[in-house]
Amino acid sequence: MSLSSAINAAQSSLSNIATQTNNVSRNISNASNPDYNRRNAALATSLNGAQVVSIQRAQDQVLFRQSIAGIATSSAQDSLLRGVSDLKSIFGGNDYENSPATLIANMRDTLSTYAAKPGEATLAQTAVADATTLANGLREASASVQRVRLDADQEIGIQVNSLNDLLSRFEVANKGVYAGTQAGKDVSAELDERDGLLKQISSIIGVTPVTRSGNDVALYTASGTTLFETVARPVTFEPSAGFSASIQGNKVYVDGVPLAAGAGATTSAQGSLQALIQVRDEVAPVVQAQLDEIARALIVTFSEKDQSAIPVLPDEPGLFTWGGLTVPVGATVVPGIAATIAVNAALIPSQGGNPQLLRDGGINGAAYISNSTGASGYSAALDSYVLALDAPTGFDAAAGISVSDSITGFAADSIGWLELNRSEANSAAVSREALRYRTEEALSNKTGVSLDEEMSMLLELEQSYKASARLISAVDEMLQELMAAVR
Amino acid sequence: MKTSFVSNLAVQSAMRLTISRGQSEIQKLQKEVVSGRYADIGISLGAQTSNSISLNRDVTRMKTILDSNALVTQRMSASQAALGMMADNAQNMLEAFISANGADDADRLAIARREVETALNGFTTAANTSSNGEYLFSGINTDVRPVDDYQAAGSAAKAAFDALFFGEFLFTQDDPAAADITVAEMDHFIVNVLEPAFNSGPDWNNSWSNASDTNISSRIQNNEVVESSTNANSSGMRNFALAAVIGMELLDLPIASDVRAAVNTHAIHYAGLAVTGIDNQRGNLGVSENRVAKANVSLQSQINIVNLHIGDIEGVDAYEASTRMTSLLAQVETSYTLTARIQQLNLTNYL
Repeated sequence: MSLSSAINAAQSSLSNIATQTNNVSRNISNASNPDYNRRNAALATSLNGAQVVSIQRAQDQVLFRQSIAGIATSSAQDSLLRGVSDLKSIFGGNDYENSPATLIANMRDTLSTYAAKPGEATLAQTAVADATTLANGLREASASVQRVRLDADQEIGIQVNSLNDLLSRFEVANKGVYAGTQAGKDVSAELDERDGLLKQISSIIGVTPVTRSGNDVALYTASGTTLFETVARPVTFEPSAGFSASIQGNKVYVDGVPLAAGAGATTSAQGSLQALIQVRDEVAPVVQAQLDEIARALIVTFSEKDQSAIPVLPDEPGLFTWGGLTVPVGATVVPGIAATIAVNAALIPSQGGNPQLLRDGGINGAAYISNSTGASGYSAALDSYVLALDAPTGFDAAAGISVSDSITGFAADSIGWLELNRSEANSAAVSREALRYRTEEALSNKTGVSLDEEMSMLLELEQSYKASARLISAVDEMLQELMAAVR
Repeated sequence: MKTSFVSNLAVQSAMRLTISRGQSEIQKLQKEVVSGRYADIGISLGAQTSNSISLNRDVTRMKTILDSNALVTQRMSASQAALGMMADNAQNMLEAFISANGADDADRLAIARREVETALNGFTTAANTSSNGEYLFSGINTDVRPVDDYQAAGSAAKAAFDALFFGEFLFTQDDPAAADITVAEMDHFIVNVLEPAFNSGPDWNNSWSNASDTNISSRIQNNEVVESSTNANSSGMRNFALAAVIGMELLDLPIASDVRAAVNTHAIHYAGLAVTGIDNQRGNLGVSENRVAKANVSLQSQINIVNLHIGDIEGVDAYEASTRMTSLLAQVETSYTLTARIQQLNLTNYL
């Protein structure tokens, strides 16, 4: 051991401290960067004291994987909840003012008042006006449901674009990591960027990252389709220009394989894409089918029958008519019927119609007149309409609710169905968000920066620096003493 | 190496999350305390929402029926008042016939005739009562005046009677030949010719009444329909008209005393039938009125019960909500204080 080796050790200590201080200041400056993982300059003993061997990046693969899975499910649940809430807002607020259930009940109430005083022309007009409100409400609800589908479709288009963009950036970052690892460089910055991109990707589509030799990462979707391997795989999607009840949305293809829709209110979707497809192809079409069933049942209920002793003419649309101009047969969904339902012009005064035909029948000609004497106090037909609204009738099982119910009951159940899904989606969203925050918190605690720790490190470094400097000056003094003795 | 298991970012976002959760919860509770119902019924009830909707619709439905029952009640009490007037007139007419019994002198007959005319006038007015834009005794033909005025010029009913009389006796009423009519002939005319014209066959509907035989029926509960009017084709009203016509057209004819006595007997008979017939109608209507009253009571109690259920389903215990609100406010305030203090808790401040 010699004085020169002592000074060498002190010198290397100074250089170590410089590196470590640099590291601490980098940590501090990134304290609030969520994608930054804390670095540590690892020391190792060498002949001349200690030497900085490598920059270590704090990481925890298990927590990181849980965190991106949490991001995927939470973002999927959020997207689903937003879609279902959009659908619910079509029907109004806490009292469901615009829902078919409310509008039907209003019409039923005016009809029953009209039945109590069938001679009053203003009541007839009120009843027809309420029926018009109902038909308009159904048409608007149907249009809004299709708008929700279109919005989801456009959102899918936007997200597919940004996903492709993220994947190409991921490719660059991954190459950087791979090349840097091969060259033995510090790749912490590239790793941070790659992890950050992975978080963004998994909020769009759930991925399983597989790390391979040389720090190369491949990404697979939940269903096993390759999303990224060495190069980004193409995600393709063709947005639709518009939607109606009978138009299906286009599929999203990942590397040529169609992406499945999520299922259930506590959705199985991973990432917002699957949830948006679920809103577009599963949830909204059921609501549309329910609206169509309500519209079909209304047209059938208010249809006019041939009143002759031996009926030969077919049933014809009465109060309500639609684009098809016939009375639909059987309990089967007629797609899009809610989009064209309207009150028969023969009853609307502003279109030259006579609202009293509702009481007398005969919208479709003399054979359909049920009030044969033209008595102004005739209430049998009106009363039968009021009763029919509360009497069980058949519905298509495809609408997802009961197959035998009254129209008012079916309309109320339709709200119940939507609210069941919204309520479940909401509680799932709350718990999944909490899970996501917890794993992110755990990950951040494991890999993030603690200012206090950095500050105490800084104190330590300061002391070490002082000590090393003191050491150098001590050796210097000793050497000078030695020189003076020799001289 | 990393020695501490907490990162500044995690601490900050945890505090932020706690506060934002607390604030949104406060917003929700505030709505619930003020309105007494869930802030978002759909989220809170899920599938049960359809129950809440159905029950609310049931309540509005029952309230509508209550409202239309008020119309029905009003129609029936107006009918009762008119029928009361008719019954009084029938009674007066009956008394006029009884007092004219056995009288042959022109003065007493003229008085009786005037009383009968007054009674028929009163009857016609009462039968043509309209209420709320509807003729009460037209059956379902509510926009048509039910009974023509017999005493008006050009009355079809009067012409029909004259034709019947002429058809039977081949002379008009004021012809002196009337003195030759026998009791048997008069009985035959009244029982076999005049009565069928009023009580059966098409004559009544052709010349007297425009009413429909079908009464207005009204739904007074979800499952109960009653007839809420009566019509001018009922037997009481037919007999009233018949008795009045006999009194006006036959009683003071220049006929023999015994024939006049026979005419008077018939008139008393038909006037008696009119009184009981009209009273019957009032009774029937009274039954309907009673049912409406009972229906209203039952509707009102159903509304109260259903409202209780609605309160159970979508109501929020305001006391509980405000207690939760108070503790939540304390919690959020604590979290503000903590946030501020944790922010200060930094090693830098002590170096």
